[in-house]
Amino acid sequence: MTATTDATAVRTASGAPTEAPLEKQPLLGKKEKAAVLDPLWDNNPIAFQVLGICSALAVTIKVEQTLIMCAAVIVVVAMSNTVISLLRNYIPNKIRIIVQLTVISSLVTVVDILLKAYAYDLAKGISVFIGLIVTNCIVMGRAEAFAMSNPPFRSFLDGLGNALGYSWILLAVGVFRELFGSGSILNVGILTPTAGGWYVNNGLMVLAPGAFLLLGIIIWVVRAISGYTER
Amino acid sequence: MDKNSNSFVMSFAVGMCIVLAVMLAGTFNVLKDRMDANVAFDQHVNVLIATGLHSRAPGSEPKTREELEDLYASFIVPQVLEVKRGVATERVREAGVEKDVQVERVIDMIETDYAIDDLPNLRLQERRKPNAADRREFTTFFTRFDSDDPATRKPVAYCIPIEGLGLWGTIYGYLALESDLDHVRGITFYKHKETPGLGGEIDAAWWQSQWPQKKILDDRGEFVSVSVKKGQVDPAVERERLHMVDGLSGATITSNGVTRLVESCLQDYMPWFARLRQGK
Amino acid sequence: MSTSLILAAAADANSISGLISLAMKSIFVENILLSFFLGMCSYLAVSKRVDTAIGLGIAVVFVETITCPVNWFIYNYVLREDALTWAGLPGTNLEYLSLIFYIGVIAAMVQIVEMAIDKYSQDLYNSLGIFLPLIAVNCAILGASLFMAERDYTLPQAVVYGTGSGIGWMLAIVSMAAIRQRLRTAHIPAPLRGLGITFITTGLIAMAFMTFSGIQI
Repeated sequence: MTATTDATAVRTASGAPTEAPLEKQPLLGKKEKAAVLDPLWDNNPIAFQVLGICSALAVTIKVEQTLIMCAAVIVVVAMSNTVISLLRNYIPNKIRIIVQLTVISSLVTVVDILLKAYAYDLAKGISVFIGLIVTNCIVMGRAEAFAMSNPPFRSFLDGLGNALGYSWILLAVGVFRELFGSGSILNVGILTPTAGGWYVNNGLMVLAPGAFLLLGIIIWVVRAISGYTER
Repeated sequence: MDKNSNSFVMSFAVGMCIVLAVMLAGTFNVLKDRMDANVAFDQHVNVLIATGLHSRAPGSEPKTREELEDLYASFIVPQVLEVKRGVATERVREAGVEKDVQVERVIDMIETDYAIDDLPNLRLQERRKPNAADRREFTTFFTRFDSDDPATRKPVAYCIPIEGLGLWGTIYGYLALESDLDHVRGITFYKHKETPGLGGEIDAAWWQSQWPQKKILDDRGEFVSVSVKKGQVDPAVERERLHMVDGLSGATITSNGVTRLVESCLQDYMPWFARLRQGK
Repeated sequence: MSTSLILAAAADANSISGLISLAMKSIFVENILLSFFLGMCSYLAVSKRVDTAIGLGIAVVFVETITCPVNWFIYNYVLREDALTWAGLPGTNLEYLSLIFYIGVIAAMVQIVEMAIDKYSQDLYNSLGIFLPLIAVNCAILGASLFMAERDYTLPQAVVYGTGSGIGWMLAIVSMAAIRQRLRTAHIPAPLRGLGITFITTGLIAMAFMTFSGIQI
């Protein structure tokens, strides 16, 4: 019952039905397409479903870290959706939340170990935040709302789509924060702040409030374009 | 089968725990050597950076992993030292009055024959000793030589590991001194949890480039360490020019942490530096 | 090397003043929501009304005060390198299992707390009960446990840190709820309503909280 409450809370928060892929019942191919494409814009996990914001902000100071975080989230969400969906007919209802959490945290641990073994330099800065993917509500939210009632392949696509929708917003925040906060993108100087350049780094961008303000503005833009209004 | 019966729930939970535990332990153990190798290589690279054999600054030439390992093997000699702690008397000035106080600190460091790769096992053995009083403590020390010929070479720099608390966790790094054991040759950090963009700037080349040629001793030869100032160093003030570096804006706690960890780690090595000086 | 430094800091940190300082730090200076972005989801979802915000806030403080020390015992006596020596198994390192253990403890604690409240205080259960399940996926709680292990806190510190960061989170969500109640009657551009303005307001609150950061206690 845990995540039912969670999902309800999320839905009331965004004020709109968020399970669009579930409610549409056209051809099978369309359904799969919708599972990937819907979350990219129409039903974006950050802008409309209000999921997974925690880690969205802490790692967006540099684009490089944001990319790693996004890759990790994509793998974890897609995999956890697939695994949960495969197990969906066996998971006892009483312990389903803890089963989901255990599966997710194992996947996160594996991703963390893999990063440490194969991309040590990149991973060492964001290890704690990789761990926090466990409680990224996107993972739990999708497992509970989609994977528990859909076949594996479609759940995999749904996970992929949601993680991608999450990733592009994260990257947008990351690009702005690095560009205006450090004057560079992917550590390549663009606004050349130090070497006689004209741009003075905006310290606010690397701090927490900068991330909040930017995300607020991005959500504003996305919703203005799509014409969605919260009551 | 009843999916909600207690026996099914229990066996499902137990089964899943076993499967996941095996999977995790498997991944961890298969990749453990690789992870350890990465950590060791990272430390070698950082010793090279601190002692001036390699740089990550923009514009410096990139080196392959083999080249770096080769440089390390040729020019760096690591040592394991045994640390002796004890009580030392120290003169402090308090409210204008000088007085002696007893402080617990490292009073000596002794050379050992252990290889640096043995250190994890060595430390484990010591920890297993039932009597805390019997436990020995070890640390590492690196000497950088001017050539790879063991017969004629001379040390040009010394490097010590440094660690201490920053804002979010322990900061680990290396500090290298010139062969006069007074001027700093370089500093580098290889593991920390400081805020990227703020405290995390301790990794930045521009910040680390201020450290070389700062002095850890004053003109009477007393240990003063190098500290991170809150704000910018004023070159007109001699004390600041010689013994301080610019602070990181927005990262006061990280800056203070670096000041403290550099001071306490250098302080610990003072007895060993005294031995090195006498040896010459 | 600087074990001396760390030991000295630990001795100092266990004193009453050290603990008060840690509490202040975790509530204001390093507010787990405003400077670490942890616990955002339920913060955004449940900050529409002050009374529900207070309910969830109390539940978080409650659970965090319990899970932090419990996870401290797990970390120091099970997971850590060589932590199983007491059981005759020296040389183990189970740190890669820490996520599973922490999340398990948190989920189990939430269940136990829920059952206990249900049994002993129906009033409290009615006002708090619906929030308890939300907490298992609140990253502020897992974050507090991870940071506690990361920073090598002692047991008293773990207790204080758990309570402190819980109170900090509650402070943030309650103040946000108060602001949002007022915002309901404000003229905000339509697409900015709801989530957008909430983020911008949170940014401003975070800026206000940053003024605490210079404080040394």
